[in-house]
Amino acid sequence: MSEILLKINNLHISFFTEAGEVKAARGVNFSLKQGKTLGIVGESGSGKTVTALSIMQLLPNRAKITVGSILYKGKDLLKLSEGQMRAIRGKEISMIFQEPMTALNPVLTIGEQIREAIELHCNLNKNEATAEVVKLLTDVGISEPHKRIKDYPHQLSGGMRQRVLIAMALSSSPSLLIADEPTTALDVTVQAQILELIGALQSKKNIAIILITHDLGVVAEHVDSIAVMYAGVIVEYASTQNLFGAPLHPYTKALLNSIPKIEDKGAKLNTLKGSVPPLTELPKGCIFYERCAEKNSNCKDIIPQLIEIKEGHWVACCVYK
Amino acid sequence: MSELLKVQNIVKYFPAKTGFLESCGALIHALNGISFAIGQGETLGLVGESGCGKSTLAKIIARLISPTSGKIFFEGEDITSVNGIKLKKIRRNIQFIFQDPQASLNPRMTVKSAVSEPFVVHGLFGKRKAYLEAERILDLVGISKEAANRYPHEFSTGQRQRIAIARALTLTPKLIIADEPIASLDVSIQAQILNLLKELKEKFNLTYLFISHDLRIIEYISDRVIVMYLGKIMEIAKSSDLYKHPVHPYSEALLSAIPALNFTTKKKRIILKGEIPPTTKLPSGCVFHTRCIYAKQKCIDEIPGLIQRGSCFFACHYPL
Repeated sequence: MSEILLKINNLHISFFTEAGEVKAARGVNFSLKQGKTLGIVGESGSGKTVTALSIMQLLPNRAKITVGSILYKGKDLLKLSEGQMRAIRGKEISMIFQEPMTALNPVLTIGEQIREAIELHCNLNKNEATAEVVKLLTDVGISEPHKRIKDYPHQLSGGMRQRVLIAMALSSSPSLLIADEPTTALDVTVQAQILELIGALQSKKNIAIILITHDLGVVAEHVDSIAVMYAGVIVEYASTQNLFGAPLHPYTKALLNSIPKIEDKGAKLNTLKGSVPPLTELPKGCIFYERCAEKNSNCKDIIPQLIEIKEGHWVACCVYK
Repeated sequence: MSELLKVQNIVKYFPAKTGFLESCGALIHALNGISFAIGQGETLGLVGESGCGKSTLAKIIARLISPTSGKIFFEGEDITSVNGIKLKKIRRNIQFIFQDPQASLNPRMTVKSAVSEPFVVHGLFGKRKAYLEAERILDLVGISKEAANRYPHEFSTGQRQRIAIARALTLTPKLIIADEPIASLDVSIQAQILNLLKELKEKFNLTYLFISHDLRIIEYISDRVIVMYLGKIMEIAKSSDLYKHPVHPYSEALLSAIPALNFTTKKKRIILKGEIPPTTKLPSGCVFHTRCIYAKQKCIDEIPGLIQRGSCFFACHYPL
């Protein structure tokens, strides 16, 4: 039994805007074991990215964690000073982003950028660091790394840039890698390359991964368990097998149904009506109430808690009580 | 099924404008001899990776840019170089839906005036009648009369795309070119828009040229599919055939890259090696040979033509 690497307890994150307090995450709980992969799935505004950023403590200034704790190897990250956090960020926990072009510095060569990360976290001299950069680039499948280290980001394709970011994220051999929509900006064939690469590196280095995406197809093959988020709360949390095999929450079901499948050809797609409610005016009861197909009279007044229905299968819905 | 649109051997080169290449007159070979036809009432899907020329082709068909060579026929009439009043008439029949409704709607115009503008431009109705018509069409796409006086920023992305669709419908076009119409939308909203497009197609007997990089969506909506790579057609096939038995190795690789929703059977995946070659310097022979897992010497030497087999067309020396 591997040990728990990351545990998030009752995390609440709010943005303080002119329009009022936006409660972007409300009571998020999950844990991740060493070497495992968790997928966080949800539509835009569901709170997946803020949750990830809160682990790295990279939330924008107007966002605050109001309640909750983030335990990493038993330590509460929220109680650390900025200096202590800096020793963890990038070294123990690293992150890759959706758009590799904006995550890379356009005026530095990729060699310099990866070396900077290595020099910051590992005790290596310049030559050793350069050798390490070449090794990392080879690991992520970039051909002719000796030449490539002199390239600037704009000289690389989107897929190559994402490989560079992965190399940089792995440079300090982190225990946890957070990948926020790592393949959304890429073509399908390149997406397949990158997902395969992440999977291969994970099994080689035993890293725990949080994979954030809006694409259920991306997580289906690559993660052990999945948290489905909707408007700031986790509505369902289960192993990949259970989630796809027997989804429980009406939102998860609707999400799976809204993806065209072969047998749907010609038929009308099942859709969710309406759109996500504004997070400034939260309803009294279940946040999904307005769009839910299975709602009953309780749903309007009671905020459902995430409860374990079957072993390892959690759902936040009043229908399952 | 009668032919609504036909393109013949469309070629488009752009001058490469970066750095020293400009002085040596390098060309971006965006489209390299594209020929196909769309039947009346058909939905033709167009897939390919970014940079393969999908959008360039769409813009050429809509006469937003001109091809370097080749011909476009609409209802049998050559429209490659028509202009003036004649072009305006063509524009009524060919309408465009773009990817990003935020960018394609004027932020300073109310939705009602944006949708009624085509009537005025084409001199069909006076302003008052045009407004009424606009309201009627907005209602068809699910935007209420009350909301019609608002500005684009007051709507969600999904609603904005509905408005863009309404505007494309105003002049009762025959052909609608939809260039990644749902790529910027959330999954649950994508399904809503797909349903709407299907509904409208039946109601108005529309023909779609539907461009997307998402193969699942193309499969769902299209009757036939064109697979493009580096400005060339690799395969044209009935959607049902293509997804079961791709003939071209590139189609096979592209289809195998779709993430499976079925977690139990791990898909056999063909991971294409390397990158798409630069369009300034196309590979010799078959443009796909640099990444094809089946490539042989003939593929490097000879350019494959588009061969017909049943209802399927493919450009490959060694079809699957």
